[in-house]
Amino acid sequence: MDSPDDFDYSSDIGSILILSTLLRVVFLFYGLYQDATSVFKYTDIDYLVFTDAARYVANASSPYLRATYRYTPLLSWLLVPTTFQPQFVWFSFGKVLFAAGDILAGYLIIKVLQSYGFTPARAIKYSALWLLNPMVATISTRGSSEGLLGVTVIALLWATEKRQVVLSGAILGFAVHFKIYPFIYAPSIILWMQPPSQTTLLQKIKGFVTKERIIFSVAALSTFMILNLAMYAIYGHPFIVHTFLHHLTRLDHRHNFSPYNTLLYLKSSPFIPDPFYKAIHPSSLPTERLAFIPQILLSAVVLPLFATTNLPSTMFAQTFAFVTFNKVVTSQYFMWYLVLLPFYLPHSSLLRNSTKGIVALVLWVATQGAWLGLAYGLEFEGANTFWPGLWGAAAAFFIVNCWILGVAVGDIGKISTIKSTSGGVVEKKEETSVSS
Amino acid sequence: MKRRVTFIHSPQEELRDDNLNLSKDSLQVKNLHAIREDRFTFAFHELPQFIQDVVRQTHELYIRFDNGKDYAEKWNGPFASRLPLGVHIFAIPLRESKMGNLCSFMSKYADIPCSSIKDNFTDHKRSKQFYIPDPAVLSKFLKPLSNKLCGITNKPCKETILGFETASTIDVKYDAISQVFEVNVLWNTRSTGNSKDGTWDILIKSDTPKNKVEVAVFTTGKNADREEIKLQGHLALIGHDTEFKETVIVFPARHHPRSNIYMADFNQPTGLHPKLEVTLALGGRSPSEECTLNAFFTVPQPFFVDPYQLDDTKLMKSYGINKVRVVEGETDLEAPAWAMTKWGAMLLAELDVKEYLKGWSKDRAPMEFTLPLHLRYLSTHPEKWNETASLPWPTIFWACHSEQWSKMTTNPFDRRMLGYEDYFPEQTYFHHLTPKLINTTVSSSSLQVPLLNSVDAQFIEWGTMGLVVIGFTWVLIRTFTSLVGGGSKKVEEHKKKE
Repeated sequence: MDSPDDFDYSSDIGSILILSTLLRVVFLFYGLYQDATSVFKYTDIDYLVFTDAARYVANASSPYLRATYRYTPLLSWLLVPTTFQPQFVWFSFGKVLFAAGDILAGYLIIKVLQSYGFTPARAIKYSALWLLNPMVATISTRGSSEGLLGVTVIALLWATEKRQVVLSGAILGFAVHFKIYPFIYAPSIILWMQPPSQTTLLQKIKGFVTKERIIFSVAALSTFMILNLAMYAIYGHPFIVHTFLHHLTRLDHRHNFSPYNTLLYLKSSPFIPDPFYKAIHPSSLPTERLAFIPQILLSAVVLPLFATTNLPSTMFAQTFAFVTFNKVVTSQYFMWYLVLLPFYLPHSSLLRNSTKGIVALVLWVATQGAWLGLAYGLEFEGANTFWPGLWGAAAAFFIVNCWILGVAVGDIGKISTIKSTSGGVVEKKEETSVSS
Repeated sequence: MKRRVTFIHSPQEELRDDNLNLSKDSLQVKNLHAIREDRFTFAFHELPQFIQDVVRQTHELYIRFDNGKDYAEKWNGPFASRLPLGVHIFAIPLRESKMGNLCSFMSKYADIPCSSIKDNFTDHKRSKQFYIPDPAVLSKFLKPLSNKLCGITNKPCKETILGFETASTIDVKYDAISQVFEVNVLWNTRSTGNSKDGTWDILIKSDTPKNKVEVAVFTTGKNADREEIKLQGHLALIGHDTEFKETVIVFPARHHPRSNIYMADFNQPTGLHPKLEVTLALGGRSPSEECTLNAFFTVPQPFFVDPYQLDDTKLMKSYGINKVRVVEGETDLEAPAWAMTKWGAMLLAELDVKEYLKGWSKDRAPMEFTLPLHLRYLSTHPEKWNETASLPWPTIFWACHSEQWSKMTTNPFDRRMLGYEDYFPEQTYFHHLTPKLINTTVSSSSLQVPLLNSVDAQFIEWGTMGLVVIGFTWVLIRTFTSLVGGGSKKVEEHKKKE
């Protein structure tokens, strides 16, 4: 229950949006100040990649002329204003755009939560996890495009819940074109579009092909393909190579949070046998391809089964699984599930049982911290922490993530549902109350 | 074949009568403290077949070796243009030639892996560039070469070639227009003579009456013009002259020595993003107002530079670099060392000397500049945890406007195609600073690159797979118990029905 001394903004959507805007304005100007005065740049290296690519696009050439540009050309088009004069104003356009995307995502989070029956005050409280999260504000004002992805995913959720089938299909198609991974939401949304009239499994299977599902799939697939064909028509083969194929073939030997990282380094390097144990070799298993199996099985096959229980929480679990089991994990990927956290957290035992919640948070932060410490030693002090140090820390982080994921699926299974009149699903309000 | 031997001794040391003893067919050199340069000139038809095969595919070919030591501090006459240590190859193909013979020559005689020019050489304007940072490659190369060139019986020939091992620099050049193949071997300071105290004791004679040897013994004189070098001394054609001729030659030179020293070392700790810090003692002066101070780097694997980072003017200014003018070669920002086929990249930077000179009157600290670098991941190894990586020091020089540029080719010691001068206007001449070797024997800096030791390869592999299987199974079990147990009793009902 809201305590009487709560701030005024908690009942006012406008206030939290203004507050989150102010937060980002402060971060943006602080970033400009740091960039101007320090050699340690606030601006993300990727932002320089985007803006360089935008410059190529503005000169009517290909964004892929910029090394390491691995995104859809749409992103570089969006950022063409960053090439306008005067530069000291327009260069930050992208950051403003990404931050605006953040805020819009936050607004949509509130709207979707309200459609689930949350009071405005509660919806605002949970949306603050995203809107007033300093990590989120930092990432977008440093110029990382994850904020745009956040708003796309929440818009997808919003359109789906509003039964805007064509729109939600189109958003999904766009999202997959933009960053591949949102394809995992396709099976859950399709399962979620369950006609209430079908009650038995047999009915569900027989009546699986519905008009709604067909429209959604066609809209998604055609948006995805139209965008791809258009980009291919303009930019040709480099578009396919950098936006899609790169992610399948990349070596990923540079250290990151992924549990696979050390193994991928080992297996992509030429192997010199130990002179004392000449017979010992790493297996010839194609780890880099096998790694897709648990990841895709969990995030795109098994977890979508929860979709009819609670779609956004399912999407949270799917994203969490996708990131946890990915071959590359960097902290920007945490944004992918963070934007969906406000939907899962109200149902979470991590919030009801505060000891469990604190333990989870501490372990999540501590294993990451341990990894970061070891990575710092390697990166900046030349200490050899590859094995067992970095591997161990990544393994511990992975185990903690798996545990949290296990807890989350347990919680999601317990969400009791009642059919809403619109055919969607509305949670019971008394189910969860936040203990503060 | 023609041979020219030049000795240049310090102007501080007078030549004594017993230093040189010229007879009818030979010259006895005794106790001579001097720089020595031997030049061998061949016409194309005089070359052995396997060398003809290489050069016939090239329009121009330059192979340069520098041992990275023996830097003369006070004077080195016309031999001021040193390069980063190692072997530098520049080759311009003849018409559409792929220069495959050069590549196979390198792998056959020098044991340098070369699969094709396209895969292993970088582009430098019209030419193809290759670089080997290790000076030890020379000694490995000379032995098979001497066997091939001289046969088993010709001992003097072999000795001559094996004697190149102690050279400070070697230049090999060929061009298709003159069809002349030239080898210049330089012993730069008095420390590399053939007797222990660093002086020359040798007998020079022509092997056949046809192959005359020209010998000059010079010292540097006071120059008339700032662009000129003046050499004075004695000249004789062995087998022809019975007396030395007094000679004075004056010529404008592209490369001049400058006694200011510099040294370099890595910023500690080095990590995977090392920075090379270079300290220069400039004495607060430039040769002339309009001169720029430049550094020429060859950056071999596993080092690499990030051209985008080097483009950041503000950052580079903070590192003492005005502008990075050229980055050429392999600049992939992500690939590991084992995926690289090219040797690396070259870099030409203009240093921010104006700021430094302005402050000189107040603060007489040496000038410093920094090159930010990165390291590629190295192959795993069962017995190593680290690998040593060496970065050659740059050559540092003033580039100044030349009035006499059109006459530079009259210099009998002229040297072109060094890798950087073609990025300056033709009307340029250079003053070279001198590396000072303190705590190091050669002009390069080394560091340790951590790598993954593969002795526990199986633990890593099965450990990772076990980990993923455990994590995956746990989530899967939780998912099914949750699906079956929590909330969706309907599913159970359906199962019973089926």
